[in-house]
Amino acid sequence: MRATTVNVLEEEFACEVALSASSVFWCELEDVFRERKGSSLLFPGDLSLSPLNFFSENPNGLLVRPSDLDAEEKLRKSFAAIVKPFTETTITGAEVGFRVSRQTPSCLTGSLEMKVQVRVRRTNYEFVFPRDFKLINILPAVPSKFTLFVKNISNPEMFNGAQKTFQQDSGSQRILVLHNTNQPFSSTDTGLWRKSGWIFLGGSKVVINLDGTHPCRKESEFFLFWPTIYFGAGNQNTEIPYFCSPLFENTQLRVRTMPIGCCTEWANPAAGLSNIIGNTIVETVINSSVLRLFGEKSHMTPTRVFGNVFARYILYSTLIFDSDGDGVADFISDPTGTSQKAVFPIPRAMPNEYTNPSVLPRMINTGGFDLFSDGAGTQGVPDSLADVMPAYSAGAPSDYVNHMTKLSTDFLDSCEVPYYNSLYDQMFEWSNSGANRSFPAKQVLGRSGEEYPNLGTKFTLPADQEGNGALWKGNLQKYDPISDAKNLMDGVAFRFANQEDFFADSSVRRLPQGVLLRKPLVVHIDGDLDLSPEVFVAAPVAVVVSGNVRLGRVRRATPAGKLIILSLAGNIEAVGGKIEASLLAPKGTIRLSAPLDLVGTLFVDSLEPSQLSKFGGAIIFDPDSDPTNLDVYNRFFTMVLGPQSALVGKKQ
Amino acid sequence: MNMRNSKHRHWVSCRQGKTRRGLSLVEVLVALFVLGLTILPLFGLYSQSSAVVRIGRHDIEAMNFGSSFISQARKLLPRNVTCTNGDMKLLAIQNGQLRLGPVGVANTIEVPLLDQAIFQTTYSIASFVMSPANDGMLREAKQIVLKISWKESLGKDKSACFTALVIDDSISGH
Repeated sequence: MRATTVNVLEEEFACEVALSASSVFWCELEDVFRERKGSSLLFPGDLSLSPLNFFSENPNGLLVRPSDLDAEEKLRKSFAAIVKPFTETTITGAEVGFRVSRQTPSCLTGSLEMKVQVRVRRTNYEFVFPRDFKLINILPAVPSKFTLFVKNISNPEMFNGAQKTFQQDSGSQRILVLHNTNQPFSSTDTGLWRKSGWIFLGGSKVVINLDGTHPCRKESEFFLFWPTIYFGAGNQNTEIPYFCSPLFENTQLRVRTMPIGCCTEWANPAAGLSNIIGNTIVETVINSSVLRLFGEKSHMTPTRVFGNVFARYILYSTLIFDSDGDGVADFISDPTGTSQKAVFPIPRAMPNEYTNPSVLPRMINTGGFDLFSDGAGTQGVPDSLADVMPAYSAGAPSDYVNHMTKLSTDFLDSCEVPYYNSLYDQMFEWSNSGANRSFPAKQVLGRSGEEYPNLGTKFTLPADQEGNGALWKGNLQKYDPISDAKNLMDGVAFRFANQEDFFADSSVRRLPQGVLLRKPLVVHIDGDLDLSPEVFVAAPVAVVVSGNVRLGRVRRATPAGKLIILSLAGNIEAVGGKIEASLLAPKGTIRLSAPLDLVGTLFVDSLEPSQLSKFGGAIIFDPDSDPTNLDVYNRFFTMVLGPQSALVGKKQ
Repeated sequence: MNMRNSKHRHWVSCRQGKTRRGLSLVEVLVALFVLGLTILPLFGLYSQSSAVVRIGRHDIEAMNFGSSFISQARKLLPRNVTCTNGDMKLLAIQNGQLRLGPVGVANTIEVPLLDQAIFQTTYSIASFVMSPANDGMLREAKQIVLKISWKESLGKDKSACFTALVIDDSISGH
């Protein structure tokens, strides 16, 4: 009996020492899981070989010893420090074994069994501390490849609400700019889209009016056509670049075409522009879109756009007199001897006139100078437009239609020009040095029938940035992150009845300035969640919320930090501050009470343009969340550990 | 009458049957001696086990106290408990409650009563050095050690140690 009580005391002590050792070991191991590095066994240089990549590997039976961690030396010192106050006590060994109990396409569950061996006097003890785990790749693959994913567009013109004059930097409506890559633009990097965040704007038709303010203006989208020309704030009177046709035969005349976006000047009768493009369609071109898909002039980020997305801009054509062939309009003296700039707008014919030309339009410049009457006799100027465009005068208006002013949306849908993706080609038009510019630009994004438009109905998310393999295949228009086979719901490790319970969890720390999420987590919270004013994220964390989510500032506290918020049925509200997170509200929208500053992904059912135009902001694609980057995707296999269970002890 | 008859019958029967021989004194003494040899060790065993139980009771009381103390202390945050200057005597335990740090933070533990006339109890709280994580997340840890000593009824000194490590792995200026 005496020996028994003595042994019980000793075993209790040995157990406490083992528990202390296990705490230190768990701590180091949790850091390895959180940081996804620090162990060549668990996270080798090539992460695709990680045993935690359960899509291709199976960690069942895997043993992790202190020697498998970079922190081995620290661990041994800690073990020594634990037993330092005691005599005849040593920690003789420790290891963690993986036992897998269940596997689904999205999740692996099982337990980790940590064994700690302790020697007290002459007796060896071994204690086992089991702990449940869930292993899941928390990166929602499809949404994570997109800067912006909007499932439904209610009105094709819904974004076209920004109204500005030609020389206005910004109007009363704010704009939301999508920055799809952090790489600086290079006109030769035609494959930029592969590493960029993509855009999906639903299955319905949507028209994005380009911003036609002067290229030096802040929000101007002239860069879509002239990405390599810099326009500073001080050169607002600089002439806008243009394309030129060859000289018409036996003349000094050529057509100069200038792609221009939308602004209120098109409706300005004094400028005469409304007549040039046709009064009936003026209303459609005075506003530009509050949503900017390819970045801004200081950060140009062309990418791949999915959906039935059109770009609306004007191809403003003028006939110019160019006697020296330099592509610049010359001056002609009028009958009074006044020099007139020989630039003559070519009015847009209505589509019903394409096959039935009525009269030859007059070629009159802004000073009222008529080229063919006032300029008659000038060398290189024929008698009439009929000499320049014989087909038109003969009743077959193909040459006139080719050269006249028109809208991008005038082109037939079977042609790639009206679609937004053609602007990608336009930006890389000079990718082959020495090649002449052409319109439409040669296709570099894809082939006709594939990308112009790409409706996303036969979408493949490649496994790498070379386009190999497939992480997901299907119809983007029907994609739902909740019912996706690899969805977050399957990996939920903890469920909380409300946010208070969540904040009380040991993995969440309330700091004076906000909340710190410090452990890898996949949690489900019933009700709403308010993470404002600030949340610090130090680990990969996925939070599934039944209701609405309110966010202030979301900051990655460490490189391992990554927050994914999925609101199952609610909206996401951003109240201000930089948000570094992926936000998914597949049945809701985003509401703003301050400009949006999001680094990550926004996935919503719909967008409310009134919200965007009130506050605007930016969404910056996070390349560290790009699932087509193998290193990135493999890094998101996340170990979520359960609480430490009751120990199992045994004496050897 | 009956008795008389009975005695009589008994007597008669004695007279009438073969006479039986009684135990000799020696035989009785030997039997008593053998019985004594058997019983005496049993008495000794009883006495000894009583002593062991007395001693074991102290062990159990010490273990109850120590386990309770340590299991509760293990749940505290390291920043809430104050390091001691070496071993500190665990003196007054008010209403079975003991505070391991400043007032105003969660650091109170409830412990069973322990007879201070029998048990001497000391505890120490010391910083436990843990390096920060690779990404700079700081970690704070403290080691709590509880020592209980007492004197057994046989005069032998006895002691038991209990220990816990409390770790907080997210203290930082992040």
